[in-house]
Amino acid sequence: MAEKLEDLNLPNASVQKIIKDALPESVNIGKDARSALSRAASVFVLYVTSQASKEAQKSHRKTLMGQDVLNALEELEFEEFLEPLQELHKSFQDSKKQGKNPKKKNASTDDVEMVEEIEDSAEENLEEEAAD
Amino acid sequence: MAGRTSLPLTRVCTIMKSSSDVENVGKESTIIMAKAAELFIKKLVMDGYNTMRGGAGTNKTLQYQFLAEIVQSDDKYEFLRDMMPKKITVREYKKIMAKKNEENGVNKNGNSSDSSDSDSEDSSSSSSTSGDSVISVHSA
Repeated sequence: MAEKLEDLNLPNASVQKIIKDALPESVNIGKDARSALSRAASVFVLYVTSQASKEAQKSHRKTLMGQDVLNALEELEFEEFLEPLQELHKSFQDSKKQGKNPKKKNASTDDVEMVEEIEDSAEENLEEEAAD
Repeated sequence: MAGRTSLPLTRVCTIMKSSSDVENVGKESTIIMAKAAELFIKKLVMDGYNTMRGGAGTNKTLQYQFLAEIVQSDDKYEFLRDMMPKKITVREYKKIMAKKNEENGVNKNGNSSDSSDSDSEDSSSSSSTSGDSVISVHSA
């Protein structure tokens, strides 16, 4: 959980990298603009999370699923993000289907490279889902 | 490329869980959210960049003001408006306040001479079309 206040901000280095990738090489970004973007992204995550949790409640679930986030984005007028994210979402579902039979508990070992960091919390969630 | 995110998933997960109306966060929703946040940053940067190119002058640096401008004018960024107000200079602020005082008939400061009258009218009428919220924030 959030122990320090900084834990609620996205790391500057990653944000800076994303900005650099987006802008043409000849263009720089001001310091205040960068920190504003970083804060805006955190607020965006909260904003979408809040809407996504409403979507989850609609389907009587307590755990936020990928589809909830997609629905939330659509609701909040960020439809343009849907296409790339739907591909991502679909790839999860495919890997889930494949891994279902041999290993029930670790259905998503395919994704290990990306999920290692959140393994602990993810395991809790898997149990939660199983209970549902 | 498929799903590699540049933002740390742990951090995104922490932010999501800090929301009071969330009980559990599935891991794929975290990954999708991280990717969405990345797309969001790019989108806002490019919108700000396009505003900058649309305006006068040749800028090499994307400044805060361009981001604030797009946030204030585009409805899908409404949730950021309180957080990213347009910055105005003290001079502009004084002009706006002088204009306000004139309208209310409370001219306590007495710093509105005839020559500055036309100035302040111009500036405040132009800024009030685009920056209503800022003005009201400052006057409150």
